[in-house]
Amino acid sequence: MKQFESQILSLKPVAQGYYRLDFLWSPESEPMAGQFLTIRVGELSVPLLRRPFALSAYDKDKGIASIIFQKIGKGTELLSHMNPGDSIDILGPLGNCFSQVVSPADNMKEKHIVVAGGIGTGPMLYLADELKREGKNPLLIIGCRTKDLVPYSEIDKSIETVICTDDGSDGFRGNVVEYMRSNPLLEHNSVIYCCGPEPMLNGCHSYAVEMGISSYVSLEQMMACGIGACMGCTCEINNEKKKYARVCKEGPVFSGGEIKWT
Amino acid sequence: MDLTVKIGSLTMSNPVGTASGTFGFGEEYGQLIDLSKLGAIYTKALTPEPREGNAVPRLVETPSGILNSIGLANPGIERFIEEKVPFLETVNTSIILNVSGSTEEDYKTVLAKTDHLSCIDGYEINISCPNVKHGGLAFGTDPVQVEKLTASLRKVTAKPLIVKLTPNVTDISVIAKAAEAGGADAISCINTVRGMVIDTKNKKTVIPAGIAGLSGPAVRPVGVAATYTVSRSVSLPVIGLGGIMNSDDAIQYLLAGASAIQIGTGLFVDPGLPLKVSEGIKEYMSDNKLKKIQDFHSFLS
Repeated sequence: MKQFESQILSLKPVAQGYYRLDFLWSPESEPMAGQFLTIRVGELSVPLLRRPFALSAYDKDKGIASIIFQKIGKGTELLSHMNPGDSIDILGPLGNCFSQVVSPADNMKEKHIVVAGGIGTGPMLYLADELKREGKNPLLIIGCRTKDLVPYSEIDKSIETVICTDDGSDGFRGNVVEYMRSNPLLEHNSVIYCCGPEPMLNGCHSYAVEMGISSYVSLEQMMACGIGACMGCTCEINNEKKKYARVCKEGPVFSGGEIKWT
Repeated sequence: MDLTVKIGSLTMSNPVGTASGTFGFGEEYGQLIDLSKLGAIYTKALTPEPREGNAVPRLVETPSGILNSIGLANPGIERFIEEKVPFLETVNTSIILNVSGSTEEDYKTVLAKTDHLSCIDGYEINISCPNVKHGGLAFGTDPVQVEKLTASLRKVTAKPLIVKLTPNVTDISVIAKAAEAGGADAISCINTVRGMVIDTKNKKTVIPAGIAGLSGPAVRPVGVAATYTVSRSVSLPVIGLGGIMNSDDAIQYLLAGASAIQIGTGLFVDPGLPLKVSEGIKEYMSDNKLKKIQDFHSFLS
């Protein structure tokens, strides 16, 4: 991890309210799928804290990292108004990554189901890409309220992708779990990865438990330091020795069974 | 130019430290900044037993501040000695162990079981945490208890004893005088200010505990005023903190009467801040022909 001044290479809308930001990566350690970074948005005290974003892509040859973010509050509003050439203060890479958490047995599974929703789409695009590069066969399932929220331009056409929309405006009408249930073929020899809103994470985990397969989830939590010092971003876990884990340090990727779901 | 600061028998290399609760025990930030350039590390509060901390969410951002309710999550003495001390032994800066507890006995236990550790250069007694049900703030708002607790801890250690005060009192000078009478070597002020944020959509407090602690630039004028008041009511050195985001903020504290300062919330925004503040203080001293930290104290009446 390193704090560094980077330069915005491009910033463009990729869906309604969603943007892709590309910038130069300078730390020696390559960011992995699941890892995140924090950005100091402006010099003012409102917004105050750095904002965390998961990596959505990394181009090793060019040293370019990307995030996809949703304009949702003051910090992301300011970020959406920045321009190529502007400098940004980055701290990263932070947290663990999927490849660190996934068990060797799950790593050998035939079907890797990568489920994404909302602002969780970025890191899952990166994970699908990482799995593809490892010679695996990922199935990307993106769940959204409506098709305007799907970042179509960011989806790698060579990866098998299913879009699920609540309103049926594209792909499967219904949520991601309903889609998986309607395709029982998926359950054999599979592993599920998920990043998205909590009901989606919880739904994917419950479905995996029902099917007797593993799930891995990437969590989101309000963060202050982002590096494990402040104990602010914890989540409750199933562990006799300790009640909480730090999302920024022990996470953000956990096996679904580790989390105490509420 | 002399940047050193004397707290009891301890000499810190410069006035800039990192505030308790924002810096853990230094391992994480040690990967980002050169810890030896800090004047002091004030550790996460240590209680005799491990504490898991409060329910989540523990944090919410407020205008120019953050409201937190961590609940003194810490490893307890045993794991502190096993897991944190080996690292602290490698750190070449003053280490001030922040101490908390539910009873007087708890505070005494932490001191008694850590006093032999050579890596600990002093103690900061946290009698001002708003986020625990017992101890903390309950001690820090009653001058009789503050004097009694300080006097009883004074008997357990010869190392510098810093008492950290809450701003959540009518007259902070009364509490500071009680700590001085009990034998404290310094006063640090302020701990967080009690605050609350309500989620109007769900009609409940954002932080489950309800009232939590406000920090960040929003509280800086409160901290500067407390530093000013306390430095004029006791003859002990005062360590000022609350919302320092740049060297100018730190200089305000020094001019108000602080002999040292701590950076907390500002670290979350810029991990490199303590070193920038140190440089800024040096530059200011040079521009204003100040030779030592005490020279800051001659301007305000």
